[in-house]
Amino acid sequence: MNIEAIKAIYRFEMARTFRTMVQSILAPVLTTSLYFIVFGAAIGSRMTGIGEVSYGAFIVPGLIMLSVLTESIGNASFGIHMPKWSGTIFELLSAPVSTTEIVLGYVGAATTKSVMIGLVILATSTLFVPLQVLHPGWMLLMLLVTAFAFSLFGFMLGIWATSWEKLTIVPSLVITPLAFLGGSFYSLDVLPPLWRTVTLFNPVVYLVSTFRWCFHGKADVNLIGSIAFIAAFVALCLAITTWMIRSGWRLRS
Amino acid sequence: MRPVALDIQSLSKTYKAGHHALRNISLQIPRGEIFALLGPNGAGKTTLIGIACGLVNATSGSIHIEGHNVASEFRTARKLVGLVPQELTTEAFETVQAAVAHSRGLFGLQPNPSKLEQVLRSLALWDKRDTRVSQLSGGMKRRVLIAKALVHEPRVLFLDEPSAGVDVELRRDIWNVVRGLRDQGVTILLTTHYIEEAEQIADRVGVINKGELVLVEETHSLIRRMGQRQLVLNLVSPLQQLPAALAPWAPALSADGLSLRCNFAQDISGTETALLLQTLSSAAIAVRDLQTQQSSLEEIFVQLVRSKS
Repeated sequence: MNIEAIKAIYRFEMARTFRTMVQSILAPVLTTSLYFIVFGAAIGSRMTGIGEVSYGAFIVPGLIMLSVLTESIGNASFGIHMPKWSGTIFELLSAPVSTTEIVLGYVGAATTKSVMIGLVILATSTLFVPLQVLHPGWMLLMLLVTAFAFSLFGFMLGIWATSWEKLTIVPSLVITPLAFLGGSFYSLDVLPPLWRTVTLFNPVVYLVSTFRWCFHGKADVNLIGSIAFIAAFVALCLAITTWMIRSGWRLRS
Repeated sequence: MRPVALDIQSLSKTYKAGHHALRNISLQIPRGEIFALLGPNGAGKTTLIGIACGLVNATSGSIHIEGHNVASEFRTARKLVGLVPQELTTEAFETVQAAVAHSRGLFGLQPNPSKLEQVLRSLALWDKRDTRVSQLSGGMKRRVLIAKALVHEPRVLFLDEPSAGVDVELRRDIWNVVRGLRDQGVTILLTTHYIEEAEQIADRVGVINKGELVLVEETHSLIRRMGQRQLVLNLVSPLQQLPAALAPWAPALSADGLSLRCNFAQDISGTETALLLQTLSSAAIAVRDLQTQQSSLEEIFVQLVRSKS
């Protein structure tokens, strides 16, 4: 295992995060605060709580997931697409690094950043609503696994994309709608039966539901099923990424 | 016989669009040699380097670096290889120091501040170590690329057009670095458009054209073998007729009869000029002035590429 290479890639990517600290950390915090002001205070005050939880507290897990998904994808896809675009990727391709090392370096750094953002949003939310986390250990694990899974997805996207436009198409046309319709702002119980069934095909539902269980002890969907889904998603992304790097698809000519 | 550092066997590359970039290339470069690959644009030079460094997948054939196959033993092989690409592709926002240190890490080596300093100093980059790469001039960026390729102490170095667009000072610095590496036993393959560069520093040259290796030969013997030397004699009084004694040199007389051009092959003993002058003297032809002209590698190269295409 080329540990030095993993460290080099990780440090390089984290340096980028810290260089753009304001944009990286402050922007998601501001966005989340706006959500709280609009949904939590302005609209939420007129809404009844969901179960025993106030609406403001109910949306916290969903808001964190929303940011973690978009940040993971955005950060990891940029991390690999930028060198592809500028040509500096020649160095990575000519270095003695394996798929595992490349993934651990790039995806590890993107995951770290997303987890940091998730925790900062969590801390911010306590300023707006009284919050309890029933299963903090599981909450951290879920945060980590989700950040890793979608960083991996973003990494794939960065290799797949042949232009900057393509890089933004998938997050804005696929991920954002899925995230918004994934039960971040409402319980699936409020949906008519037909829409509830349709919603179950949305993978984000499982993430948000499981994550919410960590906070409030109540999930919309079966916990085991959710964990199986997340594991399957990670396995699929890993398989595709491994094939991409080994074959050199859109990397080597 | 020195061990072979770079062993290329029957290498071919056909791109998806159908372009045959390399056709059955075989080439062995011994350890510690400076080898210059010459060829026109699109001849396949960069593709060859790309396959050796893992940027391009070969269609068939193999490359071994110090005995390690670059495809099946990529980890061992690539550790031994340094690459300076043709394009100025450097990180933008990192400092010179961070960019170079990053390269060392990628190749699996622990940070080594004294090695880093030595490489940066050898390329006159030490004073710029805290400058962002994007703020450097083109020549300085080229130096950074070289530093990045050297900081992991490669055994085989590929330089793709190292002196394209660089000033005289940098070119001299690059040559010094290359010679210094060769003295340490590093094997160097460089591609170049500047024939002068090959003449100056390469032990052997290879000429590649349309994906085929047209010729591989020691630089000096190639110039000797293929090169022509001409002796131009300016005469005191016009010559009406060429003396028969001059026939071996295939002389050509100018229209005014005042200038005589004689041809030599390069592989002559060195006494031939004296012999020619003696012949002229015995024929009572007075010489006012003389000059010699030697064909450069460039002319040989143009001849070769023309004759093969």
